[in-house]
Amino acid sequence: MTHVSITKLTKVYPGSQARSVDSLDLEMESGKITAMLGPSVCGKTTTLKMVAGLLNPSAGDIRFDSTSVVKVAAEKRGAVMVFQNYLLFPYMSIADNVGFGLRMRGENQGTIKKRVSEILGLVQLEGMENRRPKQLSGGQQQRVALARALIVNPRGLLLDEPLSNLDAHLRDEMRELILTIQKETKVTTIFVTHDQEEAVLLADNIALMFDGLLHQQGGPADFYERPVSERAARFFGGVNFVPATKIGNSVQTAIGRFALQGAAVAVPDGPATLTIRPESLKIEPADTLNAVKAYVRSIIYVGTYTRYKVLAGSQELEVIGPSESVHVHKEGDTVLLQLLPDRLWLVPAPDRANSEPRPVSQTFPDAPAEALEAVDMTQGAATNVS
Amino acid sequence: MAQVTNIRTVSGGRESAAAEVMERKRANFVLWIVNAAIIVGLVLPLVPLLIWSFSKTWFWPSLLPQTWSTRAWQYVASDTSQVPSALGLTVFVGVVVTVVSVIIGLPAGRALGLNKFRGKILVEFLILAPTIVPGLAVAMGIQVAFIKYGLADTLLGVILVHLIPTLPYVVLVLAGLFANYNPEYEQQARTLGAGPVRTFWHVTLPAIFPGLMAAALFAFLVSWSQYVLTVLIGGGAVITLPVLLFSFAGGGDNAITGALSIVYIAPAILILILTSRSLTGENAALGGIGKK
Repeated sequence: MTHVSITKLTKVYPGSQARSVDSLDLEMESGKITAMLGPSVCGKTTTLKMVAGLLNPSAGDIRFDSTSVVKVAAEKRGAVMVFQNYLLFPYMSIADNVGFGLRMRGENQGTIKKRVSEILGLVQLEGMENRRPKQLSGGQQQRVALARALIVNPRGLLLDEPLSNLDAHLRDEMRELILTIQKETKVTTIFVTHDQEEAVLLADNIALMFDGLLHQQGGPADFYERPVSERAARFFGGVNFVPATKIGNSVQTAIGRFALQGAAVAVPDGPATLTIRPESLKIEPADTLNAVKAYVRSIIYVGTYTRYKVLAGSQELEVIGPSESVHVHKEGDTVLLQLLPDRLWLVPAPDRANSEPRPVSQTFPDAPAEALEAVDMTQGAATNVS
Repeated sequence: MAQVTNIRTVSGGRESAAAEVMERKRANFVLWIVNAAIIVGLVLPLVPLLIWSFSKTWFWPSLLPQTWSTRAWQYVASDTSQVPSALGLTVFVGVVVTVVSVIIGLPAGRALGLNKFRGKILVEFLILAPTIVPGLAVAMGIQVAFIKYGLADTLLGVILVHLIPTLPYVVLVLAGLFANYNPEYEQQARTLGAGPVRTFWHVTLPAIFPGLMAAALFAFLVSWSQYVLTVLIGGGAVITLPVLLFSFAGGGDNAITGALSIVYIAPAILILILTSRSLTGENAALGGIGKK
């Protein structure tokens, strides 16, 4: 149960001009799971290693429960890292691997033996004490790595891409296990991933990073419903972007004028990019509010749903409909398409985004408190709004 | 064994199986030839030495000595021959040189193996240079410097000068070892609560142990067989086995030379056999004896 707080954290590697991590501010709540999400080389692993104490920050502070740990050596910090490739010590048995942290703390043999068998039970590897790492499957090795970290009751559990080396069915199993163990132990967990799905499935809180900068932080739903930029929306699978002008509680586009509801109303008037998720577009709706005519260019049957590519005017849109609708529509049909007004969202227009490379919440200075929370961006000294 | 992997897939299953058997037979034959060559090249030259060491009179054209004697061995074991003290001194110099080589070579090899930096090729070349340049040429220059600093004719001087040929081997073996080494294991140990010393002891050392043994073995054997540098820097004050061996070989007493040669070679073979099993880790630079 440790609150991890990062302020103005910056890392410039020796011999490099670029900031791998650029004055990052991040709060990791006690007992919660936080994901640091971003494409490769966005500074997320660097940040994780700085929290672990394996890298020294160039500037900024890291605090565990409001005590700075920057000067505390990795072995005394109590934040245990689980690496992507597990790194089980190959010449040690599973029991010796798991008990390593306790041995380093000088625990007596009896206690270590007892704790090892307890913790192996927790990760469902009872009786594996005498095996060697090589004799275990990838998923089992990962569970040993997790047990080895948990046995020392870490102040922070740091996971580097915890699911990305596993096959699909093992990922689900591992995700369940991590969630169960985390609930049981209440250990503050921080993990790094490039996979937005992994972040959404595991994390209470997601910090999206691009190029060493924090881009957006919030709960998983925020990134689907209220992304701060087209880039953030695209990272989470957003595909529909329509140039628009926002006027009051509606938005004018080349394909029509649409009513807005909810948080989008609070966005300031002017040029913007209208975005809506493919699953929030309704084909052949009951009412005609926010409806446009569209031409069906292609239909892809995915099984659990049907994916349409449609053309409204000259605007291409992607729509996800129920799987049975594959029997109703065919390519070349003209359909009515509803843009659900409470699902519409506006991100800064491309030219504005370029002039302001950091899409922080000041882009929407008039937004009310609840909308601000959705785009809770606390980044950079001058632009800090929270 | 490379031939075995070179099996062409023939259309018919039986044909390919037959081809495989043929290939394997050929591979076994090649292996047998190689083994025979090693035995002939390494062991056979020792046989005449052994015979010489027990001979009293041995004249052409007989195949074996006419009369036998243990005179040479008695002399070699006696204090007057200086062999027992030279043996002790050679072991001492070898051990000290090995330990110092490893202490210097470990961080150097790690830096070369793990990092890329500007001028790395130049550094590698400079480290290799002592193995390329003739030892005699270098030793003359070093001797002048050592006389100036009072290191000539001393044990310390001999130990220092032995480091010149041993360090390249140690550094290069360890650099190769560290090129396949993942330092994240050490980071993992650190976050689990191990300080730098315990991390080295529990994580780094077991991982590099086989390669480290190979490097140490190289260092010991290079020091063990050093003649020119020992003679020039030791100047007759530091008498090691090879120095003694050369003087006896020049003296023309074949029986004593033979016995001394055996004394000189035996420890090297003994060490190789004793350590070969621990050298057969994944990163071993040498194959083990008696282990498949």
